[in-house]
Amino acid sequence: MRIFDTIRISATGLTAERLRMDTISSNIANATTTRTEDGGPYRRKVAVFKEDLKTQLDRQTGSSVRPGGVKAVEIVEDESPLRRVYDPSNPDADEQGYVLMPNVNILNEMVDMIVATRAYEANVTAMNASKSMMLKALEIGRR
Amino acid sequence: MSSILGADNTYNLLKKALDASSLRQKAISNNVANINTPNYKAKRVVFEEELRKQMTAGGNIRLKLTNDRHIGIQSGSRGVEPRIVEDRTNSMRSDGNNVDIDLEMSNLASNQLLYNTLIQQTNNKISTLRHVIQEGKG
Amino acid sequence: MKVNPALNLNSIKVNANRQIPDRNVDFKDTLKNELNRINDLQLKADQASQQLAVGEAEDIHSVLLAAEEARLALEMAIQIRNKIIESYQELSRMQV
Repeated sequence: MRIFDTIRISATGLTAERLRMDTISSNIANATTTRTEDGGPYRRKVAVFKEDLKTQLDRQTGSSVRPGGVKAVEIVEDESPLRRVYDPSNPDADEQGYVLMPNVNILNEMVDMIVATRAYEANVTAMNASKSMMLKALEIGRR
Repeated sequence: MSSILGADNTYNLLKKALDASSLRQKAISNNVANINTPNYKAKRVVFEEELRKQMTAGGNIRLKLTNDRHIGIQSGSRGVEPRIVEDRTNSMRSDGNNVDIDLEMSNLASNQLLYNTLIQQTNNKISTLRHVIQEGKG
Repeated sequence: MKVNPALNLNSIKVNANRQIPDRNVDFKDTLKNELNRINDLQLKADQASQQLAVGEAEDIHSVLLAAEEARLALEMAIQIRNKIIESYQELSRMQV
């Protein structure tokens, strides 16, 4: 539906920020996870986003590229070094008593969370504005 | 009569402006959706500026027409189409994205008001015409 | 008593001379043409509605404005029809 393109674009923004939020939640929840499916401690996950361009002829603008919002490309693991913490009581500690902890920094995650929340709200505002514009357009010819 | 409304230059202009406003809403939504996308460049809709240029050009320079079928400079909205351009200005952000959320939000609000006003004005045009057609009875 | 003329009759005459209607144009043809154009507007509005239904329409306002243009043209045509019939009846009532 082309007429709802604007709302759909905002929806892609909402989906993207929600996905970002999911990864942040996962990072915070696993901030001290030392065992994972792949073995080794948890690695911080980052969602990668890309602008979504629709290559479809636009009669209105004459250009062949239409804005289509944002889309998540992939979720990658942060390859930065893991933290080495001295904790001999941990069952995953090595001979020297060091444990490899996830490379999650709670403080960074909290900041990212605020950014994601704000971006989500901005998308909601944009969507509401588009919706009210459409409702206004429906007043055409109303007597 | 084919275009009792279509012959009205102002009405045509309003219609064009509505298209532009609608497209601008799309551009703003896209900017907001991509607020955290690395290397994204903000999209802008150019319309009013070009339209104004064309209208003043048509007002000042008149081509002398020796034949009815010659095409002169139209002082109307013909020819100017709203289009999306990328804002290439540099950003202060480290991720190469130049979307300014405050700017987008204020553009969003003003565009919404502009759209509503344009709809209102179009509606006025229509109802005035209808009033006349119905001889003031409608 | 001298009454001031409400209108300057000379200026009216000048104006009347300026625009001579094209005598080659038939009333019937004009009416036909205009009705065809009104029909075109209806078709355009229909097309816009169809595009809306199949999800091809670009904007809500263009669909609604197309419908409104068609409706106004039709209302105009109906008014003109009424006037024509009225004047015809007026003529037919006339004592010859």
